[in-house]
Amino acid sequence: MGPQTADVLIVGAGVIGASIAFHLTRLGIKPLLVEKSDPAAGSSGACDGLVFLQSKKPGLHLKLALESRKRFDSLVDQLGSRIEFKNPGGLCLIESESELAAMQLFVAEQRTSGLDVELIDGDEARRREPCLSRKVIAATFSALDSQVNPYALTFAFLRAAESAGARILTGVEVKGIEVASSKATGIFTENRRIGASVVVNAAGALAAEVGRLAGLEIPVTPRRGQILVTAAVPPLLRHCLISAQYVAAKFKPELAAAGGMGFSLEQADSGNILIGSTREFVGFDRRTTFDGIRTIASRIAPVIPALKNVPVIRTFGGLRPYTPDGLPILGKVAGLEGFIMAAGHEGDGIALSAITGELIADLIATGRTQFPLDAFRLERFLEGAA
Amino acid sequence: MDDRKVDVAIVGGGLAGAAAADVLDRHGASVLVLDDNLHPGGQYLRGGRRSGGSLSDRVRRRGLSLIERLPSSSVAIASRAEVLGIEAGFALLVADGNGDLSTVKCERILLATGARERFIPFKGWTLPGVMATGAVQILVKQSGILPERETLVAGAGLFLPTVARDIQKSGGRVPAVLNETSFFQQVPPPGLLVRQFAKFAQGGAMLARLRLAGTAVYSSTRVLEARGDEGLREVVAARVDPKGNVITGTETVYRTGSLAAGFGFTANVELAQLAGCGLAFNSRLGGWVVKVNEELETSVDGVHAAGEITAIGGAAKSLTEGRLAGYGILRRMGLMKPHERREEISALKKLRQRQMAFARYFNSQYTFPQEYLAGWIRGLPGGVPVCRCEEVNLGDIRRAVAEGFDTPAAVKKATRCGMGICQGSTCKTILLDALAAITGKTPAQIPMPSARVPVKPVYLGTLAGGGPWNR
Amino acid sequence: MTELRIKTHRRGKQVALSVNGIPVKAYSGETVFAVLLAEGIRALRRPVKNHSETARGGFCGMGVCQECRVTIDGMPDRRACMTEVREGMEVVTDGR
Repeated sequence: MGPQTADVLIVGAGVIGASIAFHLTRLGIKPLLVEKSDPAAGSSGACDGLVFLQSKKPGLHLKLALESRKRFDSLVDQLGSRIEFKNPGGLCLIESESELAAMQLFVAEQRTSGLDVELIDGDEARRREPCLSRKVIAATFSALDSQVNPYALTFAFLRAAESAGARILTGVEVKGIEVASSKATGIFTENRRIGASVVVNAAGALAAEVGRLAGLEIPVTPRRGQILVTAAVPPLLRHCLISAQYVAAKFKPELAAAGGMGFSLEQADSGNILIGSTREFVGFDRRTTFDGIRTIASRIAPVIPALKNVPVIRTFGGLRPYTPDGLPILGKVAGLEGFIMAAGHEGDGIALSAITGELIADLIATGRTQFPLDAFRLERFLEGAA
Repeated sequence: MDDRKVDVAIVGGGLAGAAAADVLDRHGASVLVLDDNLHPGGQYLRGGRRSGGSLSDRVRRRGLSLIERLPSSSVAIASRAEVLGIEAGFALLVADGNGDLSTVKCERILLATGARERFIPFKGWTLPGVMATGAVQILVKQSGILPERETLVAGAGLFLPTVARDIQKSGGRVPAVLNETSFFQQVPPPGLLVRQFAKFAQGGAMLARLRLAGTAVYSSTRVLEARGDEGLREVVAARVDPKGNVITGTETVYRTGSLAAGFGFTANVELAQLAGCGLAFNSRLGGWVVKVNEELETSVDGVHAAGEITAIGGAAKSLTEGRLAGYGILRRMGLMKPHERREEISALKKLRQRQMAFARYFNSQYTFPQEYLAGWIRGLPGGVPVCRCEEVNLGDIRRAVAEGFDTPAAVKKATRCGMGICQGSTCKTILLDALAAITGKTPAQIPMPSARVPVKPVYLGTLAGGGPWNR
Repeated sequence: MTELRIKTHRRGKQVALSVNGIPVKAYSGETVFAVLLAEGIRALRRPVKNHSETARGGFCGMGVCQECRVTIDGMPDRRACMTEVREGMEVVTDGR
């Protein structure tokens, strides 16, 4: 027959929903996850596994990411080695004097927010990462930057949650959200109603759709990122890598127009190298395009020439849940009791999954969180418009 | 290869592609044939005239003359050209043999991508020295080289005696041909036997010649294991009963360094999938095939299909369908009026129906009842490799299903089966068969994993536009 | 060395290449895969994941299975069965 009610009902079994479920079970709560397709069928199964601190905006975003990164160390113990968590450190690659100037400012801000970052010259970068070409004139290094297997992480969260009593319905779509007297009291599927005291919107790129079912306007828009996957090759990359280009562009907007696209790379445990990525608003189209994959390839080939001889065997597109200010939407929703937001992580979902799970679980179980969630509330988008 | 614009892009330069190109060219369409092989002609015409094959084979003669006519026609042929993907409009992304990338724009597409071999795995099948039956045929016909002086031939289907005969005619020895199918399964339906008697007589004659040349031919016999250290040294086979159970005590050991193993064919439908064409599963047509109407149009406007991808059915059918598809395309493009060539087209359609009847028999020779195949796979040890590239074995698949991953996409993500450099081309059908055996679902109920660009591996340098070995 | 070349097959002209540094004579029109077999070489590479023990060699012969990958003229992951031999070609097995 299936469950009729749940204390906590989580919409979406991607990495965010799975992490919340895991953390809830550790507080003695047994949630029900309702997943439209399969676990990690959305963005959590179509992304790279970078847990990158250097790409986060200094201030609240970076602080949140640092907290999350800290928790990964104990997560490895709790969830096991199959999440393939690795900490090789990360390099942010600088390719022009303009970028370098911007990055020097950026580094100062990162340090203020508590991230230890080292600025090194091109030769030192090549000494540490021999596959880099002379196009790299400098780089910044953070020892904390890491990578994980996002699909395995999602499943590990779910496995652990299920063995502690959480339940998951897959292939079940939420078609409606029951609201009575400004309180969310359950959801409707194709066939029935499931009552709940708390409903969590962890639907990632589909968070807006779920929000509409509850009468809410949630500004989460899918932003496609295309990724190339190479054949498995012997170890080539010693670090996780990103380009300074789009980070630097925040400080010098002219770089956004002038530069090419930003890139990110990791070599997975399996030996495959993942290379991203485009940033496109194309609705929910997850296909890769000739244009996109050619652009990624031609962007990275001059920087890591050894990649030219490596076969690309697969490409895929993932939809980042984008929000207008780049911060996720977390916490209670004013005017709708019992409805909790946990979506809008825009490309940082994997990295922020650990802290998000903990914060939301704490909020639900105790009403309190380790630090305030005000900056992440849904209402901030309405206030700005006033 | 430079970027190009043509009326019709034909993917595949085998018999179907060549037949269509001929028709299209004679009616004034501009055609580009993109063939991934070293030379056009597909599998049937490997080696062209060099391999000294029989010219009494009418299909072979016709095929050769089509291919040989092409250079003096207006048809452009790109060899060693791999189509990586198709975008609406249409645009094809092509990687050529020099590592260069180009785009082909066209009004209509004919997919004639042929078939590849399909396998049921056995212990030790990844040893050097174990090859697909097609591999041995290609070695012999294209390069004129035998893999070893002696090759054992095993598996299922009508291709086995053909390859054995090719080896013998080339001066090699075939100690035995071991066929899983029972004698009864091999007997054709009486109606078909009568209507296509010449074909079956030819087949019978071939078996007789095989035996005369010293090859033992066995039915109801299964390869259990290929053994060796750095390479194949011996093969263990045994008889199976009508239910497919191995009959203990019938194990025979063949000392050999070369095994040609084949279990039929599967259509190369990946590009069609990528283009959005509807597929259908039909074991009498060879498994997953592209759905086409009588004019050989797919479900996508502008995309046509011909040859093995509409149904595994052999060379003659490919020639027929190539012509039909060519006429269908001309009609759609307005280069031929609706009433033109009506009789020829009608005759071709009738011929196609007859060829489809033989195709259904052909495919029945390597298709087994669900329970038979399930029992066969259940009897395989867990250590038998399923995905050669990622080294995923049958035990890994069984464990994944037990944990709740029961679709190809889910098993793929959980085990990495199909995520290797061959992009699932070898293991896809094995995974489908294994899932059917383990879950009890019919193959038609198991969704084909989707296809993505690139449908063939491509060097990153090629994608980047430089060509990795540009001089 | 047993001669595996079929006498009735019409061959192109002779070419000289090297396999793992050793000079080899072959004929134009033959594939690298075929020539390696003619030289008695059927183990072409180690499995990528390393937890299987046996070496791998060519399997499908038609460019699909990717098992026959060798390094040709410095370029890794070239399919031996899809490449015809050329004068001066350098083939290295077990290259990547």
